[in-house]
Amino acid sequence: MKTSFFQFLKDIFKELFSNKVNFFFMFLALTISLITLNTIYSLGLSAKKQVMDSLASVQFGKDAMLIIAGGGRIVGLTTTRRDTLKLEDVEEIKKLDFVKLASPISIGTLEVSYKGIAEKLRVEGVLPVYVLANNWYPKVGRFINEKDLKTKAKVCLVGADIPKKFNIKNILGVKIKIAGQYFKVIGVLESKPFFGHHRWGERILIPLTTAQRRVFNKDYIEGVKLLFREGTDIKMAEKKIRKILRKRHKLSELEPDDFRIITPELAISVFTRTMRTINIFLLAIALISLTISGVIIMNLMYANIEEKAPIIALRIALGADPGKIVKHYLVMSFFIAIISGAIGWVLSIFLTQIVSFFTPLKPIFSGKVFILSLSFATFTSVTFTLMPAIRASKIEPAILLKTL
Amino acid sequence: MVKKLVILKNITKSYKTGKISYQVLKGINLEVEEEDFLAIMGASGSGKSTLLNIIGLLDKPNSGIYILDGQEVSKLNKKELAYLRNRKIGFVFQAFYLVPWATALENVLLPLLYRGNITKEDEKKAIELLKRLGLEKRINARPNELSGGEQQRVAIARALITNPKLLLADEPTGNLDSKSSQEVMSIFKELNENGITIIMVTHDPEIADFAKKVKIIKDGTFIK
Repeated sequence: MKTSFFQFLKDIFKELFSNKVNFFFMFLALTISLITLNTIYSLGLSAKKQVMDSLASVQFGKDAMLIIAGGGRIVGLTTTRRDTLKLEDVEEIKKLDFVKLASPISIGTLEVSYKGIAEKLRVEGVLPVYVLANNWYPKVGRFINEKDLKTKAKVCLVGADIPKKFNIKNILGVKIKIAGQYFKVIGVLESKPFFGHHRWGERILIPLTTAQRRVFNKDYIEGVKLLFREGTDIKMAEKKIRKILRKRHKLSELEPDDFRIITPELAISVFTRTMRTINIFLLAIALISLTISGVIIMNLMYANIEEKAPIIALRIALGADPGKIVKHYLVMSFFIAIISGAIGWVLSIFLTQIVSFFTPLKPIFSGKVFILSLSFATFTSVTFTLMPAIRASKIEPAILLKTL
Repeated sequence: MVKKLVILKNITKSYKTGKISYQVLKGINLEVEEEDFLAIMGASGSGKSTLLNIIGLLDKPNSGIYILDGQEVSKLNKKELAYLRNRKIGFVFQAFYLVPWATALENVLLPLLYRGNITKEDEKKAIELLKRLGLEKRINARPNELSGGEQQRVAIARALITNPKLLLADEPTGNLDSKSSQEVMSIFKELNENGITIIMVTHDPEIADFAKKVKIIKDGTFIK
């Protein structure tokens, strides 16, 4: 039976643990870097998942699209007209066979008051289909119906945080003032996670017809949310919708769009842009820290080789060729990486659990993160051991043996 | 006819320290036959260790021809030299030179690690060697648990595990007391009687007396 492989590994392990202080610092340098890397990566994944979950919770999954009035935005400011998106456009879009439903919306920030408490809040004029489009139902009471639309009823639904804001215990049936007019509260909407610029819990919904004729006094809408049939090619849908809107808005070829089409991908990219910048920055720090740990490993390896020079010379005298000496130290560095990687992984899980305790971020650990961190550890450890290993292989046994 | 195991022809070796060059070996000629036991004596700095390094393929001469077991070896590369060292030469050093974290048995098996495989038979052979050298109770002991004499016997077992044709010993009793020195030299004598060629460097005439032949080196050349 061949036992040389196990003897070889045993020999390396014994040498590795023969200088525990040296090994401890090599391991520590790598472990700290890996903890940083793992933590940043898993928290980054967590942030992304949170955005995705938030989008999914408002029915902005892969089969959804948002069209917003006004185009050519520069730093958030519209450079085209904003009053061209009409309900007629929505009717035309609804005719497309892949469109499952369309929920137009008219928006304004208005003063809302009740018994001396006044707040500037986002008021949205919506259709009954809004509940389906946004997966947002009343917690108590009812939603806006066709009758409300027909009669341009002065009724409203309020976000979950509104009753607390106005100190109203039982808000159903209460009349609150919106832009100087009394609106009867017919329902309270269920809670939604915070997402975007406006808190879901602080919104007020009124019938779209009431909003357009009695509150905002405008015939255009601010946007429309579309849900597509499953399997719709979003790119194709975007192309067709753009064509319809440009034609209806009589835009010449040189003119830019006077609307914006927002796909879930675009929304994610906007919401995660800042997160990504921070992540890149943190990742750079982690990589710098890995490089520093690599340099530490290199120096400790040099010290180790210096200290073990007579033993290396002996190995060479007994028949180890330069390749075997290099292999010996590279395998040793591989073990350092594996041990550091595994311990770094466990400590990262521990650390991120602590982070998740104090922040809304829920770390995501996967085999991918583990493989990534092990790869980084192995790459760093092996790369930075290469130079010391080559130096070890060049030790002249003759010169060392004379000193004995 | 007895075969010549080592043939050195006009071997020179010099070292440079800064701009100054020292000629350590000045045209050494030497022939060692199989089953010889040669002692090389000389004062400190005479070049005896340098000569042993060249014979042991641990160093290369600047000029001259070295034929080991019928093969010209002075122009071989490091890998080829390592291969030959592993198969033809056994080393015994003054400071024993055992791997401190390995047991006596692991130390003995070390040269075989570089051959690519260690078999159960090799392990048996290593244990037999240790037993033959009186170390049956020290097989799993580490070097720091062994006396000087025991360490040197482990080193001898390590040198013998590969069945070398040539055993090179550099001051093998230099770190031993007189009792252990006698024991080690008795082992050498027995090994030589069993057919192993030994070249030993020493400055001790009493130790040199164990050899069949003695050569004295002075200022890089043999004077006797």
